Amino acid sequence: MITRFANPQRFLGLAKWLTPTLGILAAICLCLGLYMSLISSPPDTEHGHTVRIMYVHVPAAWTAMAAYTGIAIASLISFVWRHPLADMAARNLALPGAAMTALSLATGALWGKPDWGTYWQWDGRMTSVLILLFIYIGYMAVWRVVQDRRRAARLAAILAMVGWINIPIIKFSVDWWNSLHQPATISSPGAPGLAAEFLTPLLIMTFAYSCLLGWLVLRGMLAEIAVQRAKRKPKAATTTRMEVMG
Amino acid sequence: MIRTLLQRELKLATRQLGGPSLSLAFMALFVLLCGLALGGDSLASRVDLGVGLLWLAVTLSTLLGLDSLYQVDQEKGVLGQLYLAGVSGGSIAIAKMCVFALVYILPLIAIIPLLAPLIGLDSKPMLGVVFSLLVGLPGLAAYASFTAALLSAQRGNGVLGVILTAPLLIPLLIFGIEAALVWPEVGLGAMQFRILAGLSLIALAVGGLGSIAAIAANRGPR
Repeated sequence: MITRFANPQRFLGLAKWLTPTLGILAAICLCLGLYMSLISSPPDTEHGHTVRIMYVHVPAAWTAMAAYTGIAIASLISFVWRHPLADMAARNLALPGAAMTALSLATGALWGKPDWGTYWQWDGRMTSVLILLFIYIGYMAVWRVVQDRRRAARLAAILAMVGWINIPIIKFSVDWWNSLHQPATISSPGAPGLAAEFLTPLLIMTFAYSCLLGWLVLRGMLAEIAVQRAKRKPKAATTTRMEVMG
Repeated sequence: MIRTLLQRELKLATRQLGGPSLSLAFMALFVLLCGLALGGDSLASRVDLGVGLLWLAVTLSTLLGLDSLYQVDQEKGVLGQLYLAGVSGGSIAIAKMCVFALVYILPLIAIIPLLAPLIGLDSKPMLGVVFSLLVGLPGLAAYASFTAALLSAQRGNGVLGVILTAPLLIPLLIFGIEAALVWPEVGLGAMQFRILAGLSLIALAVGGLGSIAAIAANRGPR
């Protein structure tokens, strides 16, 4: 299956209809999800209206983690089979993923203020998401610093895989450290039994975020392919195009 | 082969002690600055702060030495020549890690007894710091080698090296400090020491393989 989609021509054929589909789906679901979560869903008995932050916050955190897992998988594919498309996918996942991480941190802080009385707590989950942001930054910096594209792809893939192995370890140690230093005082919202009127908008928003992520990644990859093709074209092409336009 | 490599690395490292001594000076300066900024007396009154500070000082000073690890050999083509001579990346990585641990990190651990009185740390927690650092030493060296190998073809990216390595070192830092804190009561058999040793070995496996892959990726023209 990997070799099937590694063919750029086939990928372009797929992306041609998948990109607009994902974009339109993301737009529709975002509108619907935002209406349901911000207006039509009821406030929570415990958290009041601040529960609405959940619909923006939780999907952002999920997609941030999904994006990093995507980077790790694409990196493995690129490392083993050396498919340039996998590199492209990994690189274009990084910026949206980092943005989602930052968004989940910002919304989490905004939610923390009314609910816990503080913007930041050295809670295991929050701390490890912040560390994830730094891993994203390091990953993007390697792409930027290394001049040779092919070498940058190799090095970034190695880094992404090492980072991916480390994320569970970091999460475990931060959790352990946190439970040792602070008794868990936080009532975790959205615990096991989430009622249907909260769950539906949450799932719609998650779907919308996933589509948005897919759209952003495909757009980035298409743009990169277009730039590469433009570079490969012979120089004379510009003059002929000007003649046609003139 | 690995013996020759080790001898070569050791010889080179002991002839250029400028880097390690600068790291030592940085560590002493860092402890001094922390004493001034946070107040020496308040540091002396809390053991956990002193222990954390020493661990942090050693970690940061280690990261300062990253630049010198692979860069010179990469630029002069030594790594390429070793590859042509049939030396495996694993031997290179192991030799580099061992010598880095010996020449860079061990001196940092060795001056802890001199720095501990500055922040009012008694001999017992101080020994805890030394032992936990010794257990964490392979992990520190492995991740240092990994990022150094990753960035070996890039000049002047010391800060990026720190940013890449620091998140990987967080588990070692957490359990190292905890192990040092429980050492006076429980000793080396403490659960924290065992986890630290495990983390250190995981780091050795991941960082070692990562170093080999990074050396291979940086091979070739440009």
